[in-house]
Amino acid sequence: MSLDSKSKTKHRDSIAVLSDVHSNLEAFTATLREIQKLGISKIYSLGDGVGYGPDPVECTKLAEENITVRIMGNHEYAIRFPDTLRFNRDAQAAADWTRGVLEVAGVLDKATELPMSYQEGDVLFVHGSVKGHIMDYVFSEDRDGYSTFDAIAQTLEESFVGFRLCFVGHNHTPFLATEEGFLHPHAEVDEFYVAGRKLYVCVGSVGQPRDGDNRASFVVYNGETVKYHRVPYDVATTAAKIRKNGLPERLADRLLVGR
Amino acid sequence: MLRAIDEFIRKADRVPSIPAQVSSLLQTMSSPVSSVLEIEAMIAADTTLSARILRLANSAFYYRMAPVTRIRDALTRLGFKTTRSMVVTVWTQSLRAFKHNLREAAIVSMLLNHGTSCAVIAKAICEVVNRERAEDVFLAALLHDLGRIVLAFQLGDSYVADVLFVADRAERATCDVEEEMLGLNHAKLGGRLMEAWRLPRLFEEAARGHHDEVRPKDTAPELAAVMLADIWATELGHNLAPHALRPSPDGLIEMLALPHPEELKELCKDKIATMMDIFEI
Repeated sequence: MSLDSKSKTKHRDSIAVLSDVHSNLEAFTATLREIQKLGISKIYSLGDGVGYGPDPVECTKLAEENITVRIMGNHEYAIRFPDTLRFNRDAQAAADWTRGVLEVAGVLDKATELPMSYQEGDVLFVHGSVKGHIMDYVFSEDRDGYSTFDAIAQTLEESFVGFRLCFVGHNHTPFLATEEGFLHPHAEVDEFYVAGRKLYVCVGSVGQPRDGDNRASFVVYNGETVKYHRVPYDVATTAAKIRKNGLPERLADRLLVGR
Repeated sequence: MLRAIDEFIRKADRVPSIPAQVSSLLQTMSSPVSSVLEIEAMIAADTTLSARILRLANSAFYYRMAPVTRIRDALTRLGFKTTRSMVVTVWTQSLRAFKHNLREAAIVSMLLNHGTSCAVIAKAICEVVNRERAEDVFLAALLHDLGRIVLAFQLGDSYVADVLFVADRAERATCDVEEEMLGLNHAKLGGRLMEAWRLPRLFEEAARGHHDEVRPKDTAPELAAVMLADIWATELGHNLAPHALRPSPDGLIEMLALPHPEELKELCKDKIATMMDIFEI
């Protein structure tokens, strides 16, 4: 179900915001095609364009050609500054492999020389969170299963100064973190009115969704509403390429189930 | 008074529920064989959860969508993940609120039980006088004392000692004592809370007007059902300050033209007991 936003005055041109492509060429291509179909030309990427997946060079070139604003994620940081971040074994193996491939292709700087944040009017774009642009996560629950609502509500009240909306990736999960609760899009309701409110917009992931839905995720923001989009793509091909390149098996398996 | 009320409203997002009851709901939601109807019934028995779920479903994020007055419609709008997130939030807040304070837990628990009892009674009354509004009246009654729960949670034991016990011992109206001691009363706070949270008009009227004087020409039957439910729930032992001044139920019974009020009250007693058993309250 979509909101009837046509009758409202738009404050700005629509932008598409995506994140965490993770070298997944099939998902990235399908997503860009969908954005093009929507007639949107401004695309913002919140980092982690590379890492985990099998096509870092192609994804970097595609990003250079199509993305209006690119910022740095923890994978770009880890690739650019080796041994500075603690990664799990699969992520580290993928980062080492990706660095090598990018160096050989001569596009390491193009892939990783990126700003850590970008602000436009009252909207901030970062990879992680307001508290840690690169590594911190916005989650609705902590590791023990307790809600993070009170902490996030406090952050929204105290730290959202000079901006009111913050678009983030990194958690690979599409939802809004608001002062009233966490709002997850679903088949019937995928668009939310956000004008005048302070909130995090978690855009989900293009190349490695983890919300149980293996389709690529991105959002469209028009100054008043945030609309979530999901795009099916050829997951099997990407998974096969991951295996063929000798990357950790688990990175292929998780794509199939979106976890 | 408005400033004081707004300050309470600002912190109303942390009002807890009964942890065991919310845990039970979370278990139901995790079960692959649980149904939406089961989840709806469990949420509809909990004042805090119902208020938060309805508030979220009626929030400005769902701009241009019709107001939601029923839990099942709210659940459809919010979807499973959003609903579960809210339940986890209330569960977390409830555990933290009562971790080191069993006395406050008992107070809030008693107030929440009062809401549940009122809801059961008001629905039973409405099924006799206006069946079509029974579901709406159930929720209006469930939430009618949210202002008192907010006060009890934010002021703690001092609210009970300085307001409820004083009203109870002196057999005075709690709203009068609240105004003297706090400069506001729970009915006005509840009404303002419903308004701020964009909850349905009937809920606002029930919260704001449930201690008002009964005027047969002006008092809507739905509000009268909530007012009578408040009195009967207290008579049945589901309220703090049972001796505080309350109007006689006779005028309300007459106004609602209830044919067999004592039988209905007995039936409500059984229904409340059944609901308390379900939740092991």
